[in-house]
Amino acid sequence: MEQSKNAVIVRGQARTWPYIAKNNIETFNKFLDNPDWYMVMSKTNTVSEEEVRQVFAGSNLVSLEFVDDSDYVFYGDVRLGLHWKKYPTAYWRQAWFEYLANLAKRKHELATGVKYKYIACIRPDTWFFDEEHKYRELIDLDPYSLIGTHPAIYNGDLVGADFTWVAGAIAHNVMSSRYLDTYYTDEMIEQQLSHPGDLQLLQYYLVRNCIRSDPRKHSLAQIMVRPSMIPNLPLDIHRAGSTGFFKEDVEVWQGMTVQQQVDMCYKCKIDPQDYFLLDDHLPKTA
Amino acid sequence: MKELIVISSSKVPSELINWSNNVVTVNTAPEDSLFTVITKCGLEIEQRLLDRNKTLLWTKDTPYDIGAIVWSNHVPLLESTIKHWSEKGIRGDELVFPTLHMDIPRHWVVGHPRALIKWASCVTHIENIDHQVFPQHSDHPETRPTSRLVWISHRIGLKIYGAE
Repeated sequence: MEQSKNAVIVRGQARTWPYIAKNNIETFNKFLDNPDWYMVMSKTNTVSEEEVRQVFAGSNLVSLEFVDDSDYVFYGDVRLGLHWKKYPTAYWRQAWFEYLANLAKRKHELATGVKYKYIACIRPDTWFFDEEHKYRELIDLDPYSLIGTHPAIYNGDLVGADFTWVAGAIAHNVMSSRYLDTYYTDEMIEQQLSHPGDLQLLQYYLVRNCIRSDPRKHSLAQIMVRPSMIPNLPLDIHRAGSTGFFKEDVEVWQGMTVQQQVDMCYKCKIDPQDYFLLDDHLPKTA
Repeated sequence: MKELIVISSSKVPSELINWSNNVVTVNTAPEDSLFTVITKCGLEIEQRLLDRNKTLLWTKDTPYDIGAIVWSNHVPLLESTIKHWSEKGIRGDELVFPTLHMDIPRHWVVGHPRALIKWASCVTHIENIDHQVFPQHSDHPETRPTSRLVWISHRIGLKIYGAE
């Protein structure tokens, strides 16, 4: 008998995940009616597999995978490896992680007969506010549409957020195929590196693949939690509104030197490499 | 040309594709719908690429240049189509169906492995979608399932061709 469920894919670096995981799991369990969870993270010292499984106790964690950078095809090539880490990281790494999570999802669908109606893709380090009125936004989301990111015009270019979205079944499978995007990889593999804009690449892909994103609809309000924001936890939506979504705390983190960020990570028991802080040839990440 | 892979449902007798040395039969159940059969075949291609090197999918240099998924017994054009497109070269986003005519059922598809994977992953959900995607005059009940296989190719940005 076919069942209809929802799913959540968590992909990215662990970063502040241990501090916010409980909130996010509880929020999405309500938002998407006890979904199945799939998780793909970079290998890290921030959290162990056992700790991840513990925080999901009572929830439906279907698949958990820690990915090593050395698995990546470019890793052995110094020149391309640097590019892989430096420029297109936010787009292609996320695409690779999502592909792996979606592979696990599709196998699970075939093995169990479950058919997911909505699939959310979220980052491990982003806090989601529990907003009940947003639940209604999902009611008429069709299989080819998503909410949470859409192309906006910025200086004539198509730009949009790459944090989170909730997609219908087919839109999600298409989004998770962007790792195979022949538009950038059908000739020389260096094509992947030809556009450095992670916020543009995602929107180009949405448009090229006929995925509808309705800008009038919104997923749950969210904010990336930097280590400097940990003392503010748990975050409150009203306080977020009154502080410009914790603008000053965000600026504290962004204004730190690399060494100060490394020190803060160690203080918070976060692996600095989750932010690529131990690669001195790389720019700081947000 | 590198390797060819033909993925066939167990509903198809393997002697029908005896011209290929690389036919893989996927176990399908009698109750499996057309869309489930295709989804299983697509995952089989994917798994065979991932087994060798799970990152290879991303590059053009997959172990297979061209592949096919076969779900029923009518295969007269399949061998010649593969030969033609192998020589011509098939891109990562191209699929070839036996025909582009809406009122003739399709029995197989040829394509680049990456196109087949993307397509098969989206075929899964077609049977759950109850809406009219074509004008009524071109959507006959008998051919509707395979017409939708062509339609979803367009919908997800793949290029399609007909073998005829």
